[in-house]
Amino acid sequence: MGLKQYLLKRLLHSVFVMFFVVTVVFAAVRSIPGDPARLMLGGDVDTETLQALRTELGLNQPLYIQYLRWLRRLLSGNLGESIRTGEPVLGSLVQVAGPTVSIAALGMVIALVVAIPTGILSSVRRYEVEDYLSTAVAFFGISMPAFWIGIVLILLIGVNVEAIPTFGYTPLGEGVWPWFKSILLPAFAVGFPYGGILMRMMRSSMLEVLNEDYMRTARAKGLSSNLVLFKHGLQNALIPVVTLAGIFLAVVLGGVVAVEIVFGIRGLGRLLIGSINRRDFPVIQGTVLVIAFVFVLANIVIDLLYTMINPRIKYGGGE
Amino acid sequence: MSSRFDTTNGRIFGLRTDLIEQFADTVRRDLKAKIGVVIVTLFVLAAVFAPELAPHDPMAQDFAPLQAPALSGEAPLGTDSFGRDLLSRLMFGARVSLGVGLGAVLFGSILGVLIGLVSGFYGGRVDDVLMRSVDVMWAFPWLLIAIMLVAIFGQGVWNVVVAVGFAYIDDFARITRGEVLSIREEEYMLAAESVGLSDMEVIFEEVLPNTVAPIIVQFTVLVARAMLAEATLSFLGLGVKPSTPTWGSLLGQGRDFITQAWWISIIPGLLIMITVLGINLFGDALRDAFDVREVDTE
Amino acid sequence: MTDPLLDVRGLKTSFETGQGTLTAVDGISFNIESGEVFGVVGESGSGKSVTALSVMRLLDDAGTVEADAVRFDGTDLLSLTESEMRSIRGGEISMIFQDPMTSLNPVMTIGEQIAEVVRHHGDAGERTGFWSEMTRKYVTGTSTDSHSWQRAVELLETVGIPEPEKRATEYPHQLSGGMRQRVVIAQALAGDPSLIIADEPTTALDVSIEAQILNELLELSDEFGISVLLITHDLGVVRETCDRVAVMYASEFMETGHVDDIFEDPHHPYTEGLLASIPRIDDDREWLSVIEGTVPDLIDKPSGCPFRDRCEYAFELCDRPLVEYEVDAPGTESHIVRCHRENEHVPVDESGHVGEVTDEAVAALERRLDVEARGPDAPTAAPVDASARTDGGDRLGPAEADADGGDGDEY
Repeated sequence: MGLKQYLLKRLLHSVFVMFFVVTVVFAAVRSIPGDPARLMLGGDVDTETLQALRTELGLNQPLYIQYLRWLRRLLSGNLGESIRTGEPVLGSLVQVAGPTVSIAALGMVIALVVAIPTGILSSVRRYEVEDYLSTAVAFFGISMPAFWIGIVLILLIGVNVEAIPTFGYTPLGEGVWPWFKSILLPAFAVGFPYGGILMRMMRSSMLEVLNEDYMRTARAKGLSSNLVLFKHGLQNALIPVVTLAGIFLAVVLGGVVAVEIVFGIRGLGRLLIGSINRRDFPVIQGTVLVIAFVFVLANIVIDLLYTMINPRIKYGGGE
Repeated sequence: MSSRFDTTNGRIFGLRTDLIEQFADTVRRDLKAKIGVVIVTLFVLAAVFAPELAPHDPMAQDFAPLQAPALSGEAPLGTDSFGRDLLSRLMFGARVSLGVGLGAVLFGSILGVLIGLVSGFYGGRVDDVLMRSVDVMWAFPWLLIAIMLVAIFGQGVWNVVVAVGFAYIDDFARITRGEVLSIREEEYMLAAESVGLSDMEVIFEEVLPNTVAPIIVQFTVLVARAMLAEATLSFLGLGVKPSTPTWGSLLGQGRDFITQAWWISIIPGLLIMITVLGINLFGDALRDAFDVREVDTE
Repeated sequence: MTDPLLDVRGLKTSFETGQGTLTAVDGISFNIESGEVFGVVGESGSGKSVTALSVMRLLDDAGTVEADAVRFDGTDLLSLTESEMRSIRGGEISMIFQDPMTSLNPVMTIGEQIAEVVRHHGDAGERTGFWSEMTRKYVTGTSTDSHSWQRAVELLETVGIPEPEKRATEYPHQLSGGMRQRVVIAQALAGDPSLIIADEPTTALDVSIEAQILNELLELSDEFGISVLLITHDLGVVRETCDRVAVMYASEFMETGHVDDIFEDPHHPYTEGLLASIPRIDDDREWLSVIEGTVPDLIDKPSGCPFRDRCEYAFELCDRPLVEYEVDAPGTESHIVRCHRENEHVPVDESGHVGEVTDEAVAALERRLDVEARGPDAPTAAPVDASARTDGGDRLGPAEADADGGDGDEY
């Protein structure tokens, strides 16, 4: 199928996922015992405001009307207000998104930058020292929860090296280097497990590619082994890795949320956990929806990347 | 391809003994596999026999709080902030962690395999609808599901099992469906049908035994992942109830005392790492033994 | 006689396996003249592909290649450094493989796959260093104005691909099987080769396409004076395309000669068996003719003729190593058979079977073995002429049909 069809299909799929999420959240909130409007506003609220929200949510109406109204609210960007602070949820989320995005991004970058070359090296030097070492490290990486890596890092490095903070986040605005230092350890903790997964995938994918006929053709054309590896092999090996990289984004998410707690960083993750403890439903709901949305977007990006490196998608099959 | 589906050698009580032989072979040859088997065995033993093996009652607050590990003495691995013996809590924690891990994957696998079998076997619209629904759930992060379940139902073992296992339905469904699709083409399937076996019989007697190998591999790998997921959830306070010891919750409890009493967090974490590593090595050995193509590598 | 383009003497390739040393190629010798199409025909496992890979030194570290000589255009290929060898691969000697779908890179345009050969082996003057290639691949792409691209388009046209400018920007999966193999041929021409090694080039193709591709190869060979080393299991292909052919069995050559000679006057029992197994339309027989038995194990290969266990004419001398015997025009090395029945002192009756082995026969064999052991440069006695045989040198025609069933034999 052509490029347009493929992208359309993925887009449609993403829309379905969002609908699924939205519906599940809707059902979740309705399942909690008690009045949904009261849940949204907290215990201490005057009858007027309560009634107003009840009307807006259409709580006396049939369920599907409630659903539609709720959708409408969402689409207009109204995620309600935090019970605790009274601030609009969407606004608060945007405010605390910075650290989360920074850590996740840096973590993934670290993972990619280390894992891809290491995976290639391992495949080329199979069963030799480099391979055993790298594979061992990767195995350790995928066996440790991100937050525990964070704890260990704090104990080993944070305590001993003054320069690197183990608590809190410094926004970019206050300087690139301080910002970087503040997210370095958490990003590493998040990236290590993800990197382990990527490295193993890269290695196994590259091993398969090395056995392919077109690699032999490339050698028969008199190209140097580096060229054969990087010009002919690499792109082919990356294809399955890109496909699977998106699936494992969930690992990054779980890691970031927990790591924020460990390092005391005020990000989306900490906000989410805190709001659960405080039963601050608008925030819980809003954060879940926003995270899901970002997730879906990220997967779309990965799909785009995939179409770029796999020409079979771009140009449909021949005869 | 056909040797994989060769069911002529060794089916005792429906079990594929040839698989067991292959696995024994792999373990004999490979050091990594040996380590994995050892670790997994120790873990399972500790979990199953915790009541007999644990020196103290995991809930008893008998000791001085925050004691450092001293291998001699009453509490060899130290105590937590409530004066509870860490070693005993860890052993009982192994039970819960293993139970939750297994439970989650069982949940995902039973549902997933069923869906995959039906989807692959009947094909057509059934296949389309089923796989599309499963697909929609695929990219969705399990953490969010867990959060919502906790928000509704509060903490508890079952929430964790369902939340974590939910994401695995898709994995198993895909694998099973893939296997079924490739087996369907094989001629002995047509032979079985022509002899007059009903759909159900064909599925359970012919198809299922041949899909067992990749399913077992995936099962093992996912138990490791489930344990990590449970640890994360419990650490965040979203998992089991606070009183239930799991390695993740023990870690969480130690969070506030990291600088004073590092062992409360570090030791459970170390154990998690070793166990998960062992399961991963075990799973890798299974994969080698059964010669399964790596669809989803961890 | 001018020097042959490719002269291979005593090529031997072996692999170390867990179970022992596998001898894939055991002392074969042949030469290919300029502009000639030389076929190597044999069944799977006979070693024919390994022969090609050995000449090209594409076996990496897996196999050990030894030879008295592998001379290409005067240069000993085995003594070249890897870097020197790389400039020959794809350039003066290029190679075509069996399955065009898997031997072309699925993520590169076919234009680029041809153009890179032009860049590396031609005189386009374009930069071919590692980083230049990386930039070209990942950043800028190959310019359609560049000389290498233009040349690629020309080559596509030469091999008969319509709309070459458009096709050059396409990917392998967008082309049909026959077209892909043409692309592979174009790729092989890109470096201006004097020799093309084609390893089963049509096995993966439909019969109708096969004819086109073979014709294409022949035309190119004629037009540009390119020699072809054609490796195949298909006797029909050999008959249609080759000038000379070597019949290979279990790592050794059994018989070498002009195609007409081999087909009309085969001397080796294996060749006879192969030819007899070809079903003919005018055949009344009920059973296909087969060669009984299976290929011998090449691991820790025993000495002697590899075919002796399946040969109905086997006799005492067959345990001794094989040597080359000339048949027909003596001194020209135009028809060589490696079979001890050709020993001038070995009496052969009408059915082809061997009678009493005389001491003279043994002595003659010893002499030849001695000569071969001393190497190609040692002074040789005048090659003994098989036509001086006591039976007048008349060989019987291809063995009459036997009529047994038994294992099939593919060639």
